[in-house]
Amino acid sequence: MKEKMNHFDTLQQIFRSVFKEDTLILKRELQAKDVAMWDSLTHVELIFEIENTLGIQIPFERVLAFQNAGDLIDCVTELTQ
Amino acid sequence: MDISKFNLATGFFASHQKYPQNTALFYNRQVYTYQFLLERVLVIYDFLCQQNIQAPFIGIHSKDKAETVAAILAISAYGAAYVPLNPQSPTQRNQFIVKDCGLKIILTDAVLSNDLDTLDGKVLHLPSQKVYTKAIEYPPRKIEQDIAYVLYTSGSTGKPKGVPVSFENIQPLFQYFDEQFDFNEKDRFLQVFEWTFDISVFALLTPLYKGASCYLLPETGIKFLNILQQLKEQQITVVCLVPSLLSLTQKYFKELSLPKMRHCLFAGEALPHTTLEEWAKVIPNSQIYNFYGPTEAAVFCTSYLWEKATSAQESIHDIVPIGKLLPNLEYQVVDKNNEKVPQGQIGELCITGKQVVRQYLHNIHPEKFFKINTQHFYRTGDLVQVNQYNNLIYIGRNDEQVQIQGHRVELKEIEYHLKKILACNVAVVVQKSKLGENILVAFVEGKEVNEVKLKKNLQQILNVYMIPRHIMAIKKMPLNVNDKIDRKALEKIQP
Repeated sequence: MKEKMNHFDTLQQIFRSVFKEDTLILKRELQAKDVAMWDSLTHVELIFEIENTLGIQIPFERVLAFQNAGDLIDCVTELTQ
Repeated sequence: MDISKFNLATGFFASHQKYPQNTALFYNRQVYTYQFLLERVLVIYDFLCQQNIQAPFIGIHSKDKAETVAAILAISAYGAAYVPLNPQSPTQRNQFIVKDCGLKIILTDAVLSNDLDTLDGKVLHLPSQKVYTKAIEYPPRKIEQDIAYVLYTSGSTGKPKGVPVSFENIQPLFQYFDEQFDFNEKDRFLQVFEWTFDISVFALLTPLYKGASCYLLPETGIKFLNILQQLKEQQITVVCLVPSLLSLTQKYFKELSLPKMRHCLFAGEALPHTTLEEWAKVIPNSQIYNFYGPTEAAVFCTSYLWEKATSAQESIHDIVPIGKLLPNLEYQVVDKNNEKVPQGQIGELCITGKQVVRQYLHNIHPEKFFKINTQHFYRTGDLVQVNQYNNLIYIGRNDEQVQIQGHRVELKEIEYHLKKILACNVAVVVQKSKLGENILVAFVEGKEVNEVKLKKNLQQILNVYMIPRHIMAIKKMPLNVNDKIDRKALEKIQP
């Protein structure tokens, strides 16, 4: 649980940094339409940043299937276990 | 072909006659057969007749892409020109288009009616009747005028420019694809462009003229992922893409396979050869083309068939040639004095021929058009050179226009609005590359900048792709040896 929480904090920091929103609260239901700067380019930056920070590779099939931040959090949790 | 009988819907009607049960559109998991789409077109056409609309230009402001398609076809069958208003564009920008175009009629879907209250044109809700109850007949034109559509491009004076493209301008393009490509009723095209972007004309109508299917992207989600998902899941066979998609997705090429792709076109930006080599492995059964064309020359005016070995030789600075002109077009490459330059030397590309429009709306910027004997030329502003194979090579711009996600953007237009909002004298916008995609960075001299607030202000005026990704305050602009602002130095500053 502690491990998961740490990743959640890390992910929130990455979201804030990539989308330049210091007060962004990472929620499972968060989607691209909710964040002004979340577009194709920042999405790629987001994935790169998560992969580099956590030392993981997110498979393309998983990237395609993300519907919201919750899917991303679950994927990261799975890949870092 | 008798151009008086041509409109954007004639090819669709012919396809309906042959393949009424083929899928015409696929949108939001819903199939629209040719029969179903035709009935919707006829409902809208009848609605225009009932209103006795005489206006030459009719606006479309709809979030529903299938409705937009039906409206485009109905307006064109009626004989008018369609003018797309992007619901995602700032109201102020749409208002400008409404006024500039003198739009008296805008068709919309009910959901968006409130957003349109502030626009000046008469807003008509698209009719809700879905089933056509009368006998099916292909309808005749009700008004006679020449223009097929009007699109707006970025303008250096701070105002967008209206480009009126006539039926006569656009018809040769469809004829070219009909004669040179083996598109057929089994093809599945993917249409990824906004209706305000002229490549949408190709991506929508080419399949509809062949009895093929046109797949439309959903509005929600991340666009480049939606594109890849559709290419894969729908086994798309024909697509036109903007090259920056390759840069964004290169990392996943090894995990992606699209064996059904037959024709993959690129347009809108410089196309890098080395990235294309990798992409070619993803689409092993497809031909790859690099197309080029300004809105003023009806979508595309040159094409280049990419082949690994020859393209490697011909590419300059890793950029694939834009190739040779389409039939019915001619060009000249000229220097600053309008003199033809010798083959191999760099000059401005000027185009003439049936596809080239004669002027902007209201004849603004007449300097962009000139005449030699009876030929009307358009100055593209693009610098090119011709190689030993007579292929045109794109070198760059002769002004400060850039390409962002395939869209033409005048940096001066953004600078104009930045200076106006901040009431300052010096604001400069430069283009940089990030992860292979072009981005904009703005620099403002001698002013405190609240980046978030400033971006919100710009969003009221400019399209989203024109908003600089970073806006930075700078004490003093760097100057070059001629005491002009050193844009190259600004490009090197990391945000």
